Amino acid sequence: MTNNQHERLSERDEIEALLPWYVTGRLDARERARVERYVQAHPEMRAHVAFASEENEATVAANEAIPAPGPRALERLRSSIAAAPRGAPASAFAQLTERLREWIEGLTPPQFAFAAAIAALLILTQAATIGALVFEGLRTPTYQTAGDEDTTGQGFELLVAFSETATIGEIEALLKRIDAVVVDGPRAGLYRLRLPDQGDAGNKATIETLRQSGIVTTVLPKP
Amino acid sequence: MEAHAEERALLQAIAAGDAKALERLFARAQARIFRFLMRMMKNPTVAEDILNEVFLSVWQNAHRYEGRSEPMTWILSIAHNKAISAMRKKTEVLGLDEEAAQDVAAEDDTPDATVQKQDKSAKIRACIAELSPDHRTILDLVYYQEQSVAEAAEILGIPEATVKTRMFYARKKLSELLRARGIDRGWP
Repeated sequence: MTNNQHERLSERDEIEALLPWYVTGRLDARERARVERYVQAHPEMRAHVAFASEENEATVAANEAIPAPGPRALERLRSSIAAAPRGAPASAFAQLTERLREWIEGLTPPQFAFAAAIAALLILTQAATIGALVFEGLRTPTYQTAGDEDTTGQGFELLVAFSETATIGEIEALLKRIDAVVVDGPRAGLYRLRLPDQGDAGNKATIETLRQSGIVTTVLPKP
Repeated sequence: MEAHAEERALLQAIAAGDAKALERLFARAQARIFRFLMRMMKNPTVAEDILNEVFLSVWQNAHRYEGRSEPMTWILSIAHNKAISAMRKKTEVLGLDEEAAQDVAAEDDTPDATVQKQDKSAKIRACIAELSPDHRTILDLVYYQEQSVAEAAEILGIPEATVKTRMFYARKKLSELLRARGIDRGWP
């Protein structure tokens, strides 16, 4: 129920809502001045400031009455960190995935359903937008390098799958970086990319770039 | 502010793999985080389990701390997420719905409610304990943890406007509970 309490409050109720932060000194200067002006103009609000102070004292007392965890808590933490692997800082993509996971874990069922609908829409949008890139590629049957050299029939092809969280901007930037165009897809979630042939070493480096990009989940040689 | 700077420095050291820095941060913050978890979970064993998970997460993720919020806000946010996750698992396993969980929480607080019936502060504490978990948590975050509107919004993962309205309705409900116990504040 409390998640849906978004209706607008009257000015008096807004001031009432701000009083807890007023008594803890955590309002910014503008809102603090707003509360002070209102209380000055409405002297009966002084009693309400006192209510908030009483709530503050009672809440602090209730919390302080809870004993701190015993010394075993630190020993336990030491054991836990000794047993826990602690690798290098995660990639930006891994961080994003982890944040997304934590966010999804924190959602209520109705919020989750809404988020799932948005995610499905984003996936559709990504497919449609990459589809537009394919269409654009097909309208230009020759392979164009940065130097506009006609390389029809040259290059090598790969099948790739993009992460569901990849934005079209990220995909476009990556394709530009490796000088690739999307020529087909998605089929079973895979897009066919055409790239300039740079020899074994160069092609391997391109594949590695795709793998390390953080937005490509699969890279396969075209059968 | 100086405390915040020290906590930021400790997080930087933890990110670099300094286990002693983690112990120092734990010593500084454990009581606050444990109390926050206790108020949500109502069970010391569960709260200690989650406390351990929270600081293990701090150890493993300190490099992700970007300094956009205060360290305590960041840690409280981790604690809140883990507590909500644990509550959800408990609901799935035991089949308790939120209302039933609230009733259990209220029953757990009965001893506090019976202490010093004539004492106004005790009555306020008892009434706070009767609030829903969402309402109690917002009071704890603001009054005890001294979080700003923006910080509470970050911890709870809700907009700032919702933080304010949630606080408004929590205090309104508190006034109603107090009136039922003979303390009429004349509001709402």
